[in-house]
Amino acid sequence: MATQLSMIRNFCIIAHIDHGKSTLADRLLEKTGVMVLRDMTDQVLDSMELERERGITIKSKAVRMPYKAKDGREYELNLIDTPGHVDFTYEVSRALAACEGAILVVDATQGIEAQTLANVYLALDHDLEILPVINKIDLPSARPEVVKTEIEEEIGLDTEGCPLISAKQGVGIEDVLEQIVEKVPSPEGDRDAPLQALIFDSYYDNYRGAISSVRIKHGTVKVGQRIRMMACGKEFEVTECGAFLPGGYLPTGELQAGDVGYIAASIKDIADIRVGDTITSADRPAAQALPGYKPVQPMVYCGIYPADGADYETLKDALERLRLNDASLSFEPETSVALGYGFRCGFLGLLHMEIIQERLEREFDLDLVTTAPSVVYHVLKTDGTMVSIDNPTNLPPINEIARMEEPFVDAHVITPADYTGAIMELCQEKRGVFRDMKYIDGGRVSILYDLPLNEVIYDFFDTLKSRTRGYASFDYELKGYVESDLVKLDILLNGETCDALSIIVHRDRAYARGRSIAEKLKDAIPRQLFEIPIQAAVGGKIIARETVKALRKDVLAKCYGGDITRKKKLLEKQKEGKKRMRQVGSVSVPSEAFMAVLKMDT
Amino acid sequence: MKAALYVHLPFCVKKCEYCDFVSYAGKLGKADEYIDAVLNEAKTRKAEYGLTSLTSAYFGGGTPSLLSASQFTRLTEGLCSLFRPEEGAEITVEVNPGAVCREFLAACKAAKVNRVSLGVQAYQEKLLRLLGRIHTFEDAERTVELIGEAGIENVSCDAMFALPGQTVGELLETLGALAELNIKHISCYSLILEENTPLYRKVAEGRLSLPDEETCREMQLKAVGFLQDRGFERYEISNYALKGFESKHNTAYWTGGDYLGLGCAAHSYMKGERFSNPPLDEYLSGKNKTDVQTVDAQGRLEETVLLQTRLTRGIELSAFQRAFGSANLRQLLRNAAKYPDYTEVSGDCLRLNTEGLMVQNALVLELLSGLSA
Repeated sequence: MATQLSMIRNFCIIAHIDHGKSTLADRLLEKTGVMVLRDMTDQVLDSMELERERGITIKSKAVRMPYKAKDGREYELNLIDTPGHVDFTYEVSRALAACEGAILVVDATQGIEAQTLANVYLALDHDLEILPVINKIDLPSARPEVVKTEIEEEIGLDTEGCPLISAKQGVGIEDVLEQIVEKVPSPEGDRDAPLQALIFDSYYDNYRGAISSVRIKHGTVKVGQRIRMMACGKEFEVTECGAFLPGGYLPTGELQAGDVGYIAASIKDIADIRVGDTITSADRPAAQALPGYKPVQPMVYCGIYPADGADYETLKDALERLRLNDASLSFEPETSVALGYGFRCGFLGLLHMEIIQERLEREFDLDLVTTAPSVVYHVLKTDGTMVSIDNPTNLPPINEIARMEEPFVDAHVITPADYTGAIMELCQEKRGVFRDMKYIDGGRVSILYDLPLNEVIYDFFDTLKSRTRGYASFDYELKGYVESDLVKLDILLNGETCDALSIIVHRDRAYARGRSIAEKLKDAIPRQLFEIPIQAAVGGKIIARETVKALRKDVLAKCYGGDITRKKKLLEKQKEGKKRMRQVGSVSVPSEAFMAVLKMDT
Repeated sequence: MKAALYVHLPFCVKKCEYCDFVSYAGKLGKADEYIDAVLNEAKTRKAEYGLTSLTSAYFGGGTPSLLSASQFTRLTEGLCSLFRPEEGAEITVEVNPGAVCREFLAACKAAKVNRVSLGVQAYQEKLLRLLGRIHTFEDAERTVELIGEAGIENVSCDAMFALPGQTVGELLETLGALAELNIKHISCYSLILEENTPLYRKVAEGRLSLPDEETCREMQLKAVGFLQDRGFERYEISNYALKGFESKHNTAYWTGGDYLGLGCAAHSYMKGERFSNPPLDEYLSGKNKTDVQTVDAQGRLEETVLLQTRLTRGIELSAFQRAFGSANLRQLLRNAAKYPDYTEVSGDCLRLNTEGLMVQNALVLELLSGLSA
């Protein structure tokens, strides 16, 4: 029953966002007959509503496709769809480690972009055979020859025989399949050796429990076998295993070296299945785990609170439900004087944060208040100890701080040459350190900067887009910690510090940020019965001030018999409005105000 | 039981630019049918509540004076055969300047009407036209004389402020002209732009603009002082009277008294229930009391604060304590103490001062904080 190793091809598709990765996946499924056209929605593998809407892949997914090649033989192709965003670089790297080849999709109108390169480097790190494919040749502005040259010169890949396709129109799909069979190496592995299965994704199924997506590197796994997770040490009994179908499972009872598939073992907590961990046999364990495992490290934190305090339990429930499927989401309860009970949540990056917030609001119908995102700072205290701070409120008193460090990233921007100046100016404004710049084909430039992550998470991406009219592409990777002159910026409302509005910021930026936050709050806080001074302060020194003027008059209308019902309705509305406000001392602050602070400047 | 009676007469010659009341131009032909419907409804409510006597009555509109004398007489005689006004009960009829004749006023007098409320609104021709009023200030002067000649001595006039293009001087000119007339009571209130009125659209489209907040404040403040100087004491946010001429009927609204509203779109508050009637056509087809809401203890508490803080007298604390308990009284006073610039306690009353009345809407919410019946 087991397919010979020589007949298996495991591959993934890598691309810059919008270059057509998911559409090509759709066409492959269709061409191999796994999906019939009439059953298909667009982006079959992007099963989350949010994934389809945003045109991004959030979770890795795999699917098995039988393919009868021109040589007359039947192959088993396993396509692993990987996330396409820097937030998920580690997840992508694990998915790549499960493959022998990668199809590199490049848009015939746009050419190489930052994520194209980042993904290629990742693929090369894993010794994958890379098959370039030029997509969107149906567009009038397609320039496949230019893009081919770019690929050859920038990446050094041979583009001889590179398929020119239109995934949208289904042109050239067979060429792609043939190349997979021809060029992607078949997997190697010893089916009799001790089991080593690489977990490249995990998710939760209501009936089967937490499920691992795996690539079997060596050995065999069978239903009933006891398995051990090598990093976390837990053991389980396999209840089901098999191959993936689009949106479903094909139980086969056994997976062997070379196979891509799933393993279910009545696992309740998804945290027991860590992406990158190795599954082995409990009875005959492998001598060592597969390389490359890294525990999940959230890069960005923020506080998430229910807009209505009564929804705390619902929020807790919702976070737990999302975490079932997303081991990289971390959260723990926290309290804020201003916002009450909520959670400190850790994310892989800004997109991950946005996605979780959006899913909480959409899938659980929650109204949320979120605090400004923060990175993790290292605080070296005068007593010689080091603490990691992900919430500005927890910053130790100034006199206990010897120095602080903030995370920096390697930032990589590719842009049409015209915008070089604008981008360098932006990176400079964001305290970036210039590293390298080079011209690539097609009048474009590749720019490398070291950037503080806390500037990147503020409004870097939005500003980059607006200053380059969307033409620049951006990618980053955590580089390490650098000593930095950081301060805590506090916001005082009517003389009282509002903990939920505090941020940690570089001293040079404190004045501008303080002023901008105070201005935004002035617009966001409604006038009340007294004047409200809004102050931004660093270490007790006021650096900016705005004032919300006192309410001077409200309705001075008449009120007779028929107006009373109307007045009462108005009162109900006022009460409702007030319920959605947070009390900071004597000041009522609407939920939107906490968010307004996050908005970019322009 | 006894209650105050309101009768809505929805007929108008023309709808005013700012009016979103239930009133109709060109439907006067239905007046007789309407009077029948009102009398029918009166019988139903009398039976329902055992209502026998009236503490006050008010014929409002619309323009009640558009009814003929005989129609008005038929209406009032019909009502008097059902309910008996108490001795000296205040009975008011709304009249529009210029739109009333001697015969109608005689019919009023015969029906024991002892108060007329006159919708003057402004002195200046340009403001009257902007509001869509179809009279002049001279019409108002003549009407006041006619009312006096009919033997009705208690006259109230309405004036509006915060009108597009209106200046503080113009408001005071209006109030000055009113104070010159032989009247006892002035209602002076700010224009509220209601959606679905022509004036609202003109402002929304930018063809007219309202005075700014500071000007409106100044108008309110100046009006209070100006009227006080002429003997008209402010006793409610938008009402001023010579001593002893405060409207008893309207005071019932603000102090939680029972009132029965008859006619289309009329509102009632009877035995702890608020209810209202549908618009004209539905009403004529026999439908009434269509929207009923029970006011529970919390509702009564909120209404008490909402309405009584409109009075310059304020909330009667001893009565408040009897009704809602001492814990609520303590909380109310604690809440008020947070706003010493706006509130004061004198004698048995918690009241809002002039600045407090200026922001009554917002203050009510603060005063109610933590109160629960």
